[in-house]
Amino acid sequence: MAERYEGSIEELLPGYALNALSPDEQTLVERALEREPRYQSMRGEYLEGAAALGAGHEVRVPPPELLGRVLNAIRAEDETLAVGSVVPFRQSIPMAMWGVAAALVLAVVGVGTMTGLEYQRVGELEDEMDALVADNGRYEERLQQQAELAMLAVQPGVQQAALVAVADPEPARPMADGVIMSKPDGRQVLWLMHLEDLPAGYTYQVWLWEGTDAAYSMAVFMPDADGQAMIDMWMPEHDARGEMLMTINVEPESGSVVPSANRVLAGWIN
Amino acid sequence: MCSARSAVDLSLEEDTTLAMLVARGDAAALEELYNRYSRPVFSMAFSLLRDQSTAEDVSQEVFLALWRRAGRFDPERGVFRHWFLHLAHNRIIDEIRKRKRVSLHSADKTPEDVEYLLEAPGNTADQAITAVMFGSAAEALRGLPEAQRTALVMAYLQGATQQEIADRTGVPLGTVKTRLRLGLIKLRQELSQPVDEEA
Repeated sequence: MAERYEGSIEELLPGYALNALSPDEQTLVERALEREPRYQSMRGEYLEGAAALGAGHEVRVPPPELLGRVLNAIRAEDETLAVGSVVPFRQSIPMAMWGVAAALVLAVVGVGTMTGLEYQRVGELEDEMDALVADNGRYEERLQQQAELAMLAVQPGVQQAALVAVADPEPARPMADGVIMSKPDGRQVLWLMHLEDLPAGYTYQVWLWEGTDAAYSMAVFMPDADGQAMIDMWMPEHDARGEMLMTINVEPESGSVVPSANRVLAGWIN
Repeated sequence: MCSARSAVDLSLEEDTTLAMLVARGDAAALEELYNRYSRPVFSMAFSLLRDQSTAEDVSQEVFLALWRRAGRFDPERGVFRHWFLHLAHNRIIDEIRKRKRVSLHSADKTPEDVEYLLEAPGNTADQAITAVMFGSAAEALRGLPEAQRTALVMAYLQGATQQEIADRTGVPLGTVKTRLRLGLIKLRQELSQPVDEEA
C-alpha cells in the first residue's frame, strides 16, 4: 500500500515542513520518514527554510511567569503520572479517548518514578494521541461540512442534482456517487462519496461541459482517506446557461487542459 | 570567521545535549532550552495568533510537548533548532485551524486576524508579511516571485493546507507543491546564516 505513494513523498515534504498537509498526508510522510533515511536529509533542508521564517517575527518577550507555568505544568504532569491518573490537558479530546490514553500510560509507566525510556514511551503515546486528535478534527470538519450542506439544501432557489458513477466499481467496492447544489448566485457545492484512492501522480478533476466538445475545468481535488470530498466552486455568470453536463475525471496530478477519457462520475446540472 | 563558526557549532551541540538531557527528564535542561527558545516561540505564537493570552497558552504547550517528545529528536536527522521550531509552528497552526473550525464566517474576524489581513478586499500577501514578519525573513519573502510568496504566506501564516491553497488560488495542486518547494529552497539559500534568538 505504502509503495503507491513513493513517488509523491518528495513532493509532500515542503508541505510537511510548513505544516501545510492534511492529517492523512502528514501521517503518510511521517511513516515514510521512519522508513526511508533518504527523505530525512531532504526534510532537513526544507525545515531549515521554514525555521528561517519561524525566526522572522518581531521579537516579543514572554511574560516572566511563563517559565514558572511551564515548570509547574511539567511537575503536575509527572506527579499525575506517578500516582496513576491522567489529567486531561486538552479539552477538545473526547473523554473516551482520554480513558484509552490513560490506560495505555498506566500500562507502560506503572506507579513510581519515570525513567528515560518511559519518557520516550510517553512521547510515543503522545503521538498516538495526536493521531486521535487529527481523526477527531477530521470528523468535526466533516460534520460541519454536512451541516453546511444541509443548510444550503434548504435555501430558496438552490437546485440539486445527482452525479452517478460512470464506470463499474471493483467488486465489493461501493459505487461512487455525489450531489451538486447550485445556488442562483453561481455558487456550486459538490459533495462526493466512495471515491477510489488514486495512484501517485493522479488526481480528480471537475469538468463542466458546453455541448459535447468543449469542457471547462472547475476544480482539481483529492478525496480524504474515506473517499469523500466537498468542493466549493463558483460558476462564472456567463457559463450559467441551462442544463449542463458535469463530470469528474481522473487526470494527471497537476490537472489537465482537456479532459481525459477516464470519467468516474457524471450528472446534469441546471 | 573561524571563531564565529565554532560558536555556532558549539551552540548546536549544546542544544543537542540539552535535548538529550530533557529526554531523560532533566528539568534544568528544559529550563535552559526555554531560556534559548522562549522568545522565538512566543514571538511566532503572538505574531500568528495576535492574542497575548493564547500565545502564552500555546507557548506553554510547546514546551510541554518538548518535555514529552525530546526523545523523538534525533541529531543525526537534523538540527534541534529546526526540529523544535517546526514543532512549535505545528502547535500554533493547530490553534489557527481550531479557530477556523469554530469561526467559519469572515464577519467574525477582527482586523488583527491574519486571515482577515489576507482576505480583506485589496489586501495582499505583502501586507500580511508587513503585519507579522520582520527583518531579513520578511525581505527574503518579499524577494520571492509573487506566486511562491502567496503560497508560502497562505501556508505559513494562515495555516492553509496545500489543497486549500490550490482551491483558493484556483491553481492545480501540483503547481502549489512546486511553488512551496521552490519558495522554501530560495528562503533557505537567502537565510542560511543562523539567526540570533536574542536579536
